[in-house]
Amino acid sequence: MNQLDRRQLLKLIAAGAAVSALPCAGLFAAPDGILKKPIPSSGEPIPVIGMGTWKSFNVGSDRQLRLARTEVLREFFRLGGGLVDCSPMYGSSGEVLGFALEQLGQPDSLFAAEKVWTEDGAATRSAVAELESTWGIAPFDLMQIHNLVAWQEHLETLEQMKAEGAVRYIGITTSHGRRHDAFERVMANEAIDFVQLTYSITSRDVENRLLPLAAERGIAVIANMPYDRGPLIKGLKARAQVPDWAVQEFDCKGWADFLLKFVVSHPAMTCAIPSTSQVAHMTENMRAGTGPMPDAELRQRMVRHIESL
Amino acid sequence: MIDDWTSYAIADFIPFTAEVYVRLLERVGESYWPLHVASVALGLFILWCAWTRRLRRAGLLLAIVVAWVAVVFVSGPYAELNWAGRWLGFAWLVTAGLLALFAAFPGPTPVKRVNALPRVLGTGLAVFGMLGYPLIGLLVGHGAMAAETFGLHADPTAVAMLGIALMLWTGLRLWLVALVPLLWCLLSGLTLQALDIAWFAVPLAAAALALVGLVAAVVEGQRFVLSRGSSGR
Repeated sequence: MNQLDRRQLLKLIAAGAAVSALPCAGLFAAPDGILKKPIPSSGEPIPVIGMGTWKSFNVGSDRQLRLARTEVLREFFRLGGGLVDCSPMYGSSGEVLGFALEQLGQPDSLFAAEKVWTEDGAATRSAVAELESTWGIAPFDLMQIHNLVAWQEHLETLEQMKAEGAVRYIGITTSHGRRHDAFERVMANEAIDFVQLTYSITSRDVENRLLPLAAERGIAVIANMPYDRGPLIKGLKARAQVPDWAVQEFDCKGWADFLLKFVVSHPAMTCAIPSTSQVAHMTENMRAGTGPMPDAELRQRMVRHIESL
Repeated sequence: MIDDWTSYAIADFIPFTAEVYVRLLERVGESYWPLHVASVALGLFILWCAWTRRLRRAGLLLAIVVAWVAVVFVSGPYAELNWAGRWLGFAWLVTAGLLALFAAFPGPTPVKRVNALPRVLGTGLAVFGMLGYPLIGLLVGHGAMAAETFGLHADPTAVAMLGIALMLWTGLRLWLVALVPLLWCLLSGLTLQALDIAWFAVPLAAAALALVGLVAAVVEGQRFVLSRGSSGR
């Protein structure tokens, strides 16, 4: 049996506390103010704002840029961040995360999420081992199957690894609305803890079937591309102020707040993973995980407002 | 499935940002300074050899430069950022091998056959790749170390490679050595466009000009075959 390290022990304690509180609301406020939601399969709470690394952390061996990204990650953890997501498809992002975590000393709140991305269905364990070596971390909190590549074979092995304690949670991913039919079948028929999919105020297809199914099946949901590839927030910042009613109703401080609060306030959503290479933007992102959240009525008003611009 | 593919944008295939790409150019420049001067001088010597129809010398030296760029740029720092880089680096090495092979064994078609449009376009592309390309970064305000240089960075090397190839070969050999630099110029142009980098049109224009040269070479080849046939009757 694997020995528990300090990080895992703290997570277990947190999970226990969360399970005992499950009959209450699904949203927990952490002492530092960032909101947390429970992973349905365990009750373990995680902060509603996580961090993606697509493009932003792929800086190769450039030490100057690696140190700059370390500062982004430092800000993320300083503001109560937890889930950090990566993939072997993201070039050197995993290595850069490994470098940054070495500088920061692996904060206790880290919830490390990676992906298996290989057509070789027999290579699951070696792929995970390579990722562990790249990050300098073991075991991963969450191991996902990237874009359903060879998912049957990988899922079978990941289920075994989860039973052995070699990963804590398992899941599947997609992006930009691709392969939703196959995705739905896996969600309906397999025992997975997490799904990762694209959800933003301008990409809401998943509201129809996948998010209700996730709620029904007790699957945690990670939203990638919450800014819809980036131009969405750039365009909004360039041409409009957030509406006054958003400021009054849920203390909206800017477009990052507006867009991210829309995503994480969906009842089925567990966590959003915006990606950034700038400390100032990380601060903005993390602020969206604090304070009041919009209710269903306000969410409709937010959609109408964006559509009117 | 078709819907899946139409959901992709070019940016979805570019796993790095413009900032990181420009830093990549700068890092390669910093790592090899002052080799820039020697590599451009070598490039001009290769150009002179090609202009004076010294196929063997020009081809072999170009093969060495292409293999060097495959190692120090494409398979190296570029491949750190793009998982496809290792395959692209392999393609560059294969092209270097072809250049060396065709230089060592010139074959039945004499280099004197290359004339008119392909030769003019080839010379222009080679001169631009060696002398014009480094100016682009400087003109848009990047540091001197980010100036893309023949023999160190992939784009100017690919452009010059296309030019020299048009000056030296015809027929199948020309297409074989031009294929990878042509695709690289297309890939680079689309990448720069997705990254919103100002000079994205440069490699695309170079690829278009090279394509004109390649087609012109085919037409020249047909004319040659026809004229030889008619003179033989």
